[in-house]
Amino acid sequence: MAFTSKKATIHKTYKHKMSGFSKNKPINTQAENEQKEMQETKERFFVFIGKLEEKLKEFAAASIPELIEMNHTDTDEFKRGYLRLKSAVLGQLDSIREKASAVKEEKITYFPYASDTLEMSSAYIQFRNECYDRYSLLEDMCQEYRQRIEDTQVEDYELKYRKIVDEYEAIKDKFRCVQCGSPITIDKIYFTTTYITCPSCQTKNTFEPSSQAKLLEHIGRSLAEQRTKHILQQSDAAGKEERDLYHKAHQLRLSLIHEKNKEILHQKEKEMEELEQQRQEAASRQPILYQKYLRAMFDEWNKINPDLTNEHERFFTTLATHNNR
Amino acid sequence: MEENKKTLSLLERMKQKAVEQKSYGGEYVEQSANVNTKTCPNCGAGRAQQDGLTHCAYCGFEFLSVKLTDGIHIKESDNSQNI
Repeated sequence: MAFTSKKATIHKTYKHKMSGFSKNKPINTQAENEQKEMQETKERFFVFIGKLEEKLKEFAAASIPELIEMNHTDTDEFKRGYLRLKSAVLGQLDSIREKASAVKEEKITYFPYASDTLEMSSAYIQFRNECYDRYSLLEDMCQEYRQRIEDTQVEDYELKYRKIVDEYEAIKDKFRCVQCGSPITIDKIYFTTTYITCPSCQTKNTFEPSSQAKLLEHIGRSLAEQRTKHILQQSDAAGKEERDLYHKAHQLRLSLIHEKNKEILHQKEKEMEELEQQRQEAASRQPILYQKYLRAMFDEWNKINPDLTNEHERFFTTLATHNNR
Repeated sequence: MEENKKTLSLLERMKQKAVEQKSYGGEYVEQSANVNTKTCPNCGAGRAQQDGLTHCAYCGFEFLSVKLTDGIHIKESDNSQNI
């Protein structure tokens, strides 16, 4: 509705400027036609995006409970059935967004207009911006639903780890040397096939861990991340605080453009300075917190799977170096 | 109502496909932990810690044709010395 009134103003100005120049009449008519077409395209585009949004909402709302249920009922160790369904649902969401993006490009970005006047250019820019804004609302909605769909993947790694530990406690003294029959103690949780030496006859016995114990390597990082999530949240919060303070200061800066009152100017500038100080403080806090999170996460990971400490540490060095750049 | 039906049937189809599709790498089979030994097929001797793992300490039969290097559980010292 707002667009119609703005457009009408532009249209009026245009007509006013062109009146009195009878030789320009054909151009005027052409511009009027193009503006009319622009308005119709915009209306059609809005309706089209609205329909896609409805489709997206309906589809995502129906699929989320299905995904939650499948995540609970999938008996596969890696929940591959659930993961396939999740990929398919996300694929549908992407195809909706791609469809909107293709139409946006074809009908809005490359909207054809021949009139080469300032009024026509500003009308086109306004038309394009309004359509882009409408499209970005659909993108935001896609992103929101994507996150909600990703959130259906809930896995309790603590429970899986507990099962591995319990199994180890139950089997560690159960084995005997195949060569001489003496008892063999499994001294720690092994996640890969290894040689255990018989204390009596020194024969190397090949110990093959259970399928469950072999998963330790795969769940280690996720479990460590789950255990140290609160530190990552602190780091993310500092990042968000920095962004919020920046936007606040930016709003203040914008409000100063037409401000004439020196007292208000002075007061707002002071406020901006304070906000900038707070922003810098939050900006310097964020990487420190992230480093703290990384260290805590890797320490936890090393505790869960000490055999891979060297490999974990190499990975940590890469991440920490990358973060410091 | 018609639209709702259509969405549900699409979801149902997707769900069915997700369940029926064969998993890459086959089905997950749960195996319990076990121990085993490899004895020399030539003379029947076992492989003892101090004699190394690559060759039989008694008849020199070659168990492994590679030279072992330091890994997570296997170390370079596990190579047989008296080949």
